[in-house]
Amino acid sequence: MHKNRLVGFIIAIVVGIAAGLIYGWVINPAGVKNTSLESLRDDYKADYVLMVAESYASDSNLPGAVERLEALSNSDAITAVQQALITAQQMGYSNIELQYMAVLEKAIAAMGQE
Amino acid sequence: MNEKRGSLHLLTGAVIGILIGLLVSLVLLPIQYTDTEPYSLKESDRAVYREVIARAYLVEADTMRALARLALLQDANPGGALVEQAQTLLASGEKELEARALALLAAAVNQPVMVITPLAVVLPSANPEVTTTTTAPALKTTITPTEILATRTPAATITPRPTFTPQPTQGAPYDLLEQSTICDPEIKEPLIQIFVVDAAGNPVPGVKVEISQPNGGAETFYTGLYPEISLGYADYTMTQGMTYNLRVGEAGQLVLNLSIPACEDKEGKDYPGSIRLDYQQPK
Repeated sequence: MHKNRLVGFIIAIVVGIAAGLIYGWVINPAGVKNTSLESLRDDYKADYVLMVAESYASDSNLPGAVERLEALSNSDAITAVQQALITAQQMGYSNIELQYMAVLEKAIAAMGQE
Repeated sequence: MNEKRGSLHLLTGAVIGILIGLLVSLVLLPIQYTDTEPYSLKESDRAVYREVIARAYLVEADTMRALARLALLQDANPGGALVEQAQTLLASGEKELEARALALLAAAVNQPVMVITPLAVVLPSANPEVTTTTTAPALKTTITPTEILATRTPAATITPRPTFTPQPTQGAPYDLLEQSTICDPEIKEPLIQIFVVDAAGNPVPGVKVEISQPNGGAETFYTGLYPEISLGYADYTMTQGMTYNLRVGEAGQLVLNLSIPACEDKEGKDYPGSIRLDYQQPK
């Protein structure tokens, strides 16, 4: 009898955990908040990279640009710029804007080879 | 009685399980989102995003585009958030350029027609290898044109580039028109109040003000952090017994030996006054 009660208690806990998980992950998940730059949609990321590239064009501060880009792509600045270039081309960014981003990509690649 | 106890242990188990489930799903391992928008960013990343917008604003000098980008964060008080961030940066003594950019952008929030001169940039080469890293297969597999067009946001609107000129915003010096003592008991702290206007008499935000003490130590701040007073306004709180030297703009004249003036109230008691300095760009 005592064993049956223990088994029932454990089963109840498991069922309760399952119900709690379903509620929190499916029925009523936590709102979209406290997200990171890495989770931004690709078009926002492309615009972000453009802004960083324009700043780099004015101050030539490559470490600063890399630091800002690493927040976008799991500490991989070059991937962030390359992905942004793809998105930017598809979205019809102007030639000068693509050039800014390409110059930044080239500078980061050169830094990586040193 | 025994039957009641039997159902109670099941109920207790279920409640404990639900609490554990909710704790895990809502707090410890909440659902992870992708393809999010800037308004959902955590505060530290929002600050980075603002900083990047402000820096780009200095280069593009495109106020409407900067404001559209800023709107993506959906701050309740965008100007206030920018000012607060600028003051935090100034207080930390780091990222002077970023602080100035944030102050300028805060001024633009309050005065969208504001025009600034873009920073000089190193223009990209005429024929960069833009397509070397963006292969056709990658384009097809990662992003389709329809997806992008459907999600295009105001932030990514392509606007004509400004004409880049080599002059920075603060190139011209400012002349000290008037220095006056303010005796107002309502002013709680002894301030150096600085008002900067251009040749046409319009307030100028983002002007650098350097203040130093003869025995060492210097601080830098910018006009425009208090747009509710004036876009060309800045102030500094003086300390009793200290003297200050002050310069407005990059090449402005140095004003020496500023200190708290003594004022007298109606009952003959002394109280610390403030100093007002009016600057104007020469015509």
